[in-house]
Amino acid sequence: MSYLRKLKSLYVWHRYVGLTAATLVILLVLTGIPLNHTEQYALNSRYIQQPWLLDWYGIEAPDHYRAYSTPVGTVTLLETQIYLDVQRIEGEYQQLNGAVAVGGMIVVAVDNRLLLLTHAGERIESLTSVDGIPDGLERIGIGSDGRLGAATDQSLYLADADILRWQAVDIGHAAIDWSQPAQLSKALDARLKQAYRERILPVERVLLDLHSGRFFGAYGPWVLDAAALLMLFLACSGILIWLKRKR
Amino acid sequence: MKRLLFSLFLFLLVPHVGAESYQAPEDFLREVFVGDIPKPSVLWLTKRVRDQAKQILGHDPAQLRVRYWRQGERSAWILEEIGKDQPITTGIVIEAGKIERIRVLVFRESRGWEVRHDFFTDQFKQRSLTADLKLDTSIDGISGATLSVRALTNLARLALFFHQQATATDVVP
Repeated sequence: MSYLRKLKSLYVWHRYVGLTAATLVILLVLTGIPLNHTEQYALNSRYIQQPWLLDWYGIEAPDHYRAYSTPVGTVTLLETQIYLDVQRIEGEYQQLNGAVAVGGMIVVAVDNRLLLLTHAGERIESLTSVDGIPDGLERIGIGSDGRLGAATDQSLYLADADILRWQAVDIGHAAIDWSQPAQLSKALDARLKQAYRERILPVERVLLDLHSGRFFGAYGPWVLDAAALLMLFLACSGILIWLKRKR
Repeated sequence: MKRLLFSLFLFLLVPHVGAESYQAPEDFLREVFVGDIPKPSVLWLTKRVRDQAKQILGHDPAQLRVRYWRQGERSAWILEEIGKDQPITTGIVIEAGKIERIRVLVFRESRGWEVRHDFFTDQFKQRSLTADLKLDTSIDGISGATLSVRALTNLARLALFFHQQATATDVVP
């Protein structure tokens, strides 16, 4: 084959391989640049909210929950997340034992402590045993005098109006309206599950999966490997074309 | 014998895991107030106070009110701050605007626990807060415990700041 025909052949290969790899190159660029700035753009603390993408990843909300209704909102434990209606409360929790509205606050009994929240869900304080919360807290409620009551299986304590100090009282003699588990309405259940799903999949995860090809299934990485080899061919053929032209 | 020695070697290498509780908060308070613990008070974090607390901590404070125990010009605070991943529970006593004592009550990290020792916490004694919310002297760090040192230093500053706010009205409980 003459020199010019060889050069033309290499050039044609270079062009068609380039066209073939173009889409994948664009994908790698569009995912690679943001991944280089993950912390700057907080990509690991921003979450995917599109239902179709969450469905693609098979992300589902758990079916089981535990909920308590108050006049200012419903407190729900969904897996390890606590929600006031659909607003997630910061932290991870294992057990929800009650929620009441008292003294301008929402009091949530969770994991042997009490969370005091504003009606907007902001944390006022988290009370533990050092603040007088009894060990083995099982339920909370509101007394006939409007005071917060907290009980273990053997003891009952009533808080003062500011929920600063606790007074032990006879468990049999106090009339307490105990917080009871509730069923979520269908509408709230659906909204809650969507709120739960929208905090599972970080943007960084999706970018990494697109960048590596994992997003497209088991063969995705192989396709990206092939694209990498095509780009290697482009680099080599480009250098060869340049060298041959120089001659 | 070789197996036993190897196991012991591995045990010494494994970083400390799990929470280490050095003193229960109620015991700390009992020690500070010689058994006569005053009734707790609360400091509500107004927007101005929250902004300044954020300046000290580098993040928003976790709560809208902070509990403290006060007797005259002396106040005790049980505060928490995350070192690397876990909160460090710390008891801090302020008297007349200076740190009387600071003690790590519960340490949950896998490393950096050296901050609980007196050789480190003694540095905070008699320290006060400057106008720009910093300690009036620098604190020597500990190699390998940078984040724990930073957490304790910030808590010391925070306690001093909160003490200023709590005593600003000159109402003595």
